[in-house]
Amino acid sequence: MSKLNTNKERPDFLRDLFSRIPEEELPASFRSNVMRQIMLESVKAKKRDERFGLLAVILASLVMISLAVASLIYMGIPRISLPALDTSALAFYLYIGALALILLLADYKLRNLLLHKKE
Amino acid sequence: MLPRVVTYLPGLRPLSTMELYTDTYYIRRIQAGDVKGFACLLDKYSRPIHSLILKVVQNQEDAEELAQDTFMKVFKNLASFKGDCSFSTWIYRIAYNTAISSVRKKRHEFLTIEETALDNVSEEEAANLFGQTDSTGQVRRLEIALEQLPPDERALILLFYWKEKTIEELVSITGLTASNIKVKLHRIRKKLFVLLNGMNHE
Repeated sequence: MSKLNTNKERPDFLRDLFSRIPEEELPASFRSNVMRQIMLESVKAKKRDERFGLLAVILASLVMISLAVASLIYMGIPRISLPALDTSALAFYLYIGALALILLLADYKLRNLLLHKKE
Repeated sequence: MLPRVVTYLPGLRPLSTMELYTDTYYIRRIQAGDVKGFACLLDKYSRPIHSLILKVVQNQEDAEELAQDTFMKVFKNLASFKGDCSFSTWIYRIAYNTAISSVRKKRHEFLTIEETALDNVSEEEAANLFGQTDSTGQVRRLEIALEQLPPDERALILLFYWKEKTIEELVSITGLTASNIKVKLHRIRKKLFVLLNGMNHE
């Protein structure tokens, strides 16, 4: 058994015999086939890495936005005090706005009428 | 005196002359993005790997496909190659596992040799009878004897004698213990002597 410890020990009958077994020839297309698959795999791996990178950026952005929203709503950071709207004045503002639109429309129609009369 | 630094790869430490054009050099080139560098590893290992797989699976088409699978696995897992063993050992481990997994899926019948026959066989007798045959005939007989062994045993004896792997390398390739490999090799040798003696007596 000790004779099998390494290949460096005395060559035996089988070693000589095995050394004479020829290696088989490779098919001519083998190299090109493998390299074509390797190049395709390389392109796939690059695309996969790009997708992972993009996904990581999107996830990081979402986490940051979520943290910002959570901190604003639940922890009140930063402290922002928005003035409360006076809804009693809303009807007045709507009335003025509507009046301005009617006057603008009337002005547009009168100008068109005068322009046609001159022609 | 060798020059200390001879070449540079972007983002990697400079390579010494000893590392230039070695497996490590090409692996680092590929890891740095130069995929075409894989062709050099392919040129070096494709024939021995294909030959070994062909001897294990004994089918030309399967061997070609499995050899391609082996190189694809090597490329995909190159980043995980840490250099714990030599690249050669690593690639043979992948080839061995690929070939053995493939033959395990298919049911084969192999010759069984009785224990008494294994115990009574003599290496000297086999060697003497074999010496009477011409060289080509000897190799052909050995190949016939190998074909009768189970694929795992065939792979082990081929790796040891044909690919000249040491016991330590076989431990890394097969995942078996050194003592287990020695026992297996001893038994496979005896089986081969029985088979070769049988052919000599025919």
